This record gives sequence, structure tokens and C-alpha cells, in this order.
Amino acid sequence: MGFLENLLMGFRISLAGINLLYCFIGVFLGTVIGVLPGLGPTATIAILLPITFKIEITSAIIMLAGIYYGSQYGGTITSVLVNIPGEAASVVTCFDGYQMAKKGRAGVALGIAAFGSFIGGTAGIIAVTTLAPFLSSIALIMGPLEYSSLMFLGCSLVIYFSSKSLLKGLIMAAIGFLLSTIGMDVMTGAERFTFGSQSLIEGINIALLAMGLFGISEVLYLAEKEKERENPSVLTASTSLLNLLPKKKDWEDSARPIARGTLLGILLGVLPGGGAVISSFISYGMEKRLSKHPDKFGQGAIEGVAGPETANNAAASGAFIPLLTLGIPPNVVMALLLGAFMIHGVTPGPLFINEHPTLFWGIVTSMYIGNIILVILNVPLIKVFVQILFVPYAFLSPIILLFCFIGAYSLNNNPIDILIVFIFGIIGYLMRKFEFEPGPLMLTYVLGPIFEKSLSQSILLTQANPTLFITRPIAIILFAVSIFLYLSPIIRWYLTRKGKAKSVV
Amino acid sequence: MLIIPFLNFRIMDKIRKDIISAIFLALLSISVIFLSFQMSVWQRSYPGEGLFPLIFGVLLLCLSISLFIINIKKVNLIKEIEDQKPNVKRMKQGRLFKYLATILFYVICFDILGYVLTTGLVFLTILIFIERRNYFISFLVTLITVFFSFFLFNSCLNVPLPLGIIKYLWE
Repeated sequence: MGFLENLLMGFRISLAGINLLYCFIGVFLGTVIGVLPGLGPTATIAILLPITFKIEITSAIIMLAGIYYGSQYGGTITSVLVNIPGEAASVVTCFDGYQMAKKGRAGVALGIAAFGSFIGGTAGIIAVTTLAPFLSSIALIMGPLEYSSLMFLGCSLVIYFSSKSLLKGLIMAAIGFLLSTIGMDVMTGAERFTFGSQSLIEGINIALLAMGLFGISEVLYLAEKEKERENPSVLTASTSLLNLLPKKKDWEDSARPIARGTLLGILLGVLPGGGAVISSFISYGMEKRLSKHPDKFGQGAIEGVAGPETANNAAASGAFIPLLTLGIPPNVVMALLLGAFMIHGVTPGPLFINEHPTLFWGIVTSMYIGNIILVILNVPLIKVFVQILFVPYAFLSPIILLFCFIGAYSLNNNPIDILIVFIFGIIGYLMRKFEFEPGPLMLTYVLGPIFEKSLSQSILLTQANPTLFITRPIAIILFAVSIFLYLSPIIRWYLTRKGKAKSVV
Repeated sequence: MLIIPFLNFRIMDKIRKDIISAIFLALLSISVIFLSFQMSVWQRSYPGEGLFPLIFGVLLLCLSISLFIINIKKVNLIKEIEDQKPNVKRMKQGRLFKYLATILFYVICFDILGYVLTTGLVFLTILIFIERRNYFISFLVTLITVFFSFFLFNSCLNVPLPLGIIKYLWE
């Protein structure tokens, strides 16, 4: 089948009644949780993972993907209107978006953010549509050694760029790998760390781990925080939402930032560790540097809203490229999506498009539809969404707990799973208290079995002969880059020390 | 100047936490290494089931030792500066323990009392006794959430939620 036929087939799938409904649910939920500070797409997808077991895989992934890119839209609303970023990627929107709102231009800020997001998001999906089949064909050439080294580099980049502390990120990654070894070994069939328990033979269910680490721990962590639980008492920005359509001058000022944000977002979204947050910050910095009036940034410059908002949405869509073509999640949300695929018995990777064309094209085309739904939802319903911010956290926490517990129970209809998710919740809470991020753990937990399998296959193929490893230059380069990343803090420390010693002399 | 003692306290607290975690992680990794050696690590030219746990166990041990050493060095640096313990506002840990107790109740009673009764009780406990919300709104939210979620999971998603004692009362 040709490209256009595939695309049409995809639209037929994504426009089917049930998939359209799940797409709407996903983007709507995404916008809602994007508005709510604290509850992000990671926690929401983690909480909803067990529910997706009961749904057909295409609908399930369409919904989870919708939550992810929908949350990027929602975060903007509160950034502009109340100066509270609902999402980390919307932090930079506060700088100029809120200033615009204070000057009575809230409508224009939200309008340009919505349109920019739509353009960036759609361009990102076009990139997925066109690049994914091409990348998959290249990835097919790779052997297990190249694949495991690429996976290792992907993990390393995510840990390096997204962890506050590289050492702690690595510790979490090692624990994630260790947890993934629990259960039956894929190569030998022997049991590992099961301690005779039948329920551990298949390993720890990813949904239980995710719900505990991201859902329950969130409730426990916020139980002792007063400030984070507070809702804004009033809408601090004066809003004039009637005029949401930006004027000609606004479009002229925003056109280039939107174009640059789109390219930057797609590029950083594809790279592991990049993602929506980094792309929005880089876009803001880039626009400020390229602007003829950098002093206007922070005072309500429309370029400071248009660029980052476009970039974060383009990155959110672009992040699907490595997941769908290589099976490598570039961030934690994508790792959870990979988990959702694997629960349904599907492993994204180079063969994914050929083996599951209806699933691939269904998901990709649903993202076009999701972006249109988001613009339709976001423009007229902004005032409705912003009211969600005023829902007291007191009502949200029991609802999160409820969804986690029924979700856990629904996996095997076994109350023991509720206890397991509670234990992981306590572990997640302690991790947050001791400043360990659960993201790298989740990522390596999902990738662990695939990494172990491909590395074991490589050892088997090369007869454990390290000299054969040298004949694979791609694998060596990828491994070398990863090792360099880990050694870079030591090199930096050494160079600084050397520099200091020279200056003393 | 006033902020320095507070910063010192925060840094010391962070270091203390890091040292505790480093010790715990080191003990965990030693157990993993020990258990890995109980398995087959290498079989001719093929990795055994214990190889990867052993590698990651050793890696975890090295990393936790690094975390320990880095923080011990920091302690020595901080001690050189005069350390004053400021009056840091205590966090609301009472609410946390109440939440933990309520969740524990949910875990224990879910199968015995059934979904509707346990969820209702937990919701009311959280909203009225922990979060101190209005009685009427709490009852309303509880009622709507419990029945909506029961309908969603039991009827739409085919999850057979336990009915507990309600089942016997019904019969």
C-alpha cells in the first residue's frame, strides 16, 4: 500500500465512532490535567493504564496519546490567566503570557498560543507521518548489538538531560533495570527474585508500579504540603476573551517564532531527553536572542508566547517518532505508552509499521483529529477550563486514590494488587522525600527486558568474543557517546580544577 | 546573612537524607549481588540468568558508594561553617499519617466490606475528617463518585467489583 492509501486507512480507523470518542476523552482529560498544577500527564497516564487493558489497543493508545499532547494545551491557559503553569512546559509562557493578560491582551495570548500549538502539533504529526516509515526502514538494518547500544544511549540521554542529579538519576535507572529482572528470564526461562511466589513469575506489573510511583505518591506527597494544595482565590488577570483572534500585526510578529518553534520542537522532541520542557525554554531563549527588542521580553512580548508554545507542542508530537519507529521512548510519558503497548502484546520498533499498519496509521491520524478537537475545545471553552483550577485539591486526592485502587484491582480482580500499589506508593513518596526522581526508574523498567534480550542475543551471536564487537562501528560510537555523557561531570570537574590551579600559579 | 543558617540547615538535611539513602541502597545492592551469585551467571559462551542482576547490582553498589563519599565530603565542608538550626516550620505530617491509615483501611476492608461501602467510608473520612470539608458537599461528592465509578467499572469495563456484605444483605 502506498503512503496515501495508508493515510486514508488511518483516517478511516481514527474517525470510527469509538476511536473518535476515545480521542475526545483523551484530549479533554489532557486539557483538564494540563490546567491542574501538580497532576501531570505522567501521573494521569499511570492512573489510567489499567483501564486501557479493558479497551481495544488502538482506542487505548489513541486516548493515552491524546492525554499527552492535550496536556500541553491545558498548561497554557493557567500560565496566561493566573500566572500558574499547569505543566512544566508552560513555565516560560508565564513570563510574557501573564504580562499580556495584565495589559488586557489575554485573549490574544491564548489565541496565538492555541493557533501556534495547533501549527506546531500538526507539523510534528506530519513529521511522524513522513519520517516514521523512513526511519523504520533504516532501523531494520541494525542488528541486536546496534539496537541495544542505541537503547543504552537513549536511556543515557534521558537520564542526563532530565535528572536534577546525574548520580541519583543513574541510581534510579539501575534500580529500574533490577526491578525489570524480577520474574522469568526471557533467555533461559529460569526464575529470578521470585522467592517462590507465583504472582512474581511474570514480574511486577508495570501499571502497579506506575500507579504507585506517580499516582499514590502524589497524594501522599501533597498531603503534607500546604502551599501546593492552595487554589488561586481569584482570577488575577483581567481577561478579555471575546477577542481571541490575533490581529494582523500579532500574526506578523508571531509567524517567524512559530516557524522556528516548529522546527526546534520536532528536532528536540525526537531526541531522547529533549522533549516539550526543554524545547519551550530553548525557544524562548532563541526568540529573545533573535529579537530586535529583547528588552520587551518579560513585558508581554507575543513572540515569547508564540515560539515556546509552538515548540512544546511540536516536541510532544515529535516524541512519537523514536517510540513508534525504534521502540525507544524519549521521555517518561512515552515509556508509559510503551508499557501500554507491551501490555497489549505489541512492541513498537522497526517492524511495528509493517506488522501493525492499522494500529500505526490509526494512532498517527488520530493525532491530526485530536489537534483539531483541541483547537475547537480550547478557543471557546477557555473560561470553563480555567474554573477547573479552582476545584479544591481535597476533592481530587480521594478521586486519584480511587482510580489507582480500582485500576489495580481490575488487573487480576485480586485485592492483593491494591496492597502492592499502596506499597509502591509509599516507596514513591519516600523517593520524592529523599529527592530521587522516579522517571529514570520507570524508563529503564520498561526498557530493561528489551535491552537485556537484545544484549544477550548480541553476546550469543558474537560467541562472547569482544573483538567482534570492535567490528561494529555504529554500536561502538553509540556506546562511546553514552560513556562520554556519564564521564562528562568528572571531565568538567577535572578541567575546572586544572584551570584553578593554573590561575593560582 | 539571615538566610545562611537556614541554607546550612537545608543542606545538612539533604546530606543526611542522601547518606541514609546511600547506606540503604548499598545494603540492597549487596543483597542483590549475593542473590545473583546463587543463580547461574555464565553458561559457556552464553549469559546466565544471574548476569544482568549481578551487573546492575554491582553498578548500584558503586553508585551508592559514590553518593556516600560525595556527601561525607560535603559534611566536612559544611561543619567548617557555623551551623545553627533555625526554626523551620514543620510540615503537616498529621494529615499524611491520617491518609496512610485511611488507605490501609481501604486495603484491608476492600474485599470484606465490598467496593461501595469501603469507598464510601474512605471518601467520607478523607473529605470530612482529614480535609474538613462541608458535610453536605462531602456526602454529595461521595455519592456521585461511588456510584459513577461503580457503574463505569462494573458495567462499562466489566470489572467485577466485590460487593462484600452488601451481597449478603441483598440475598
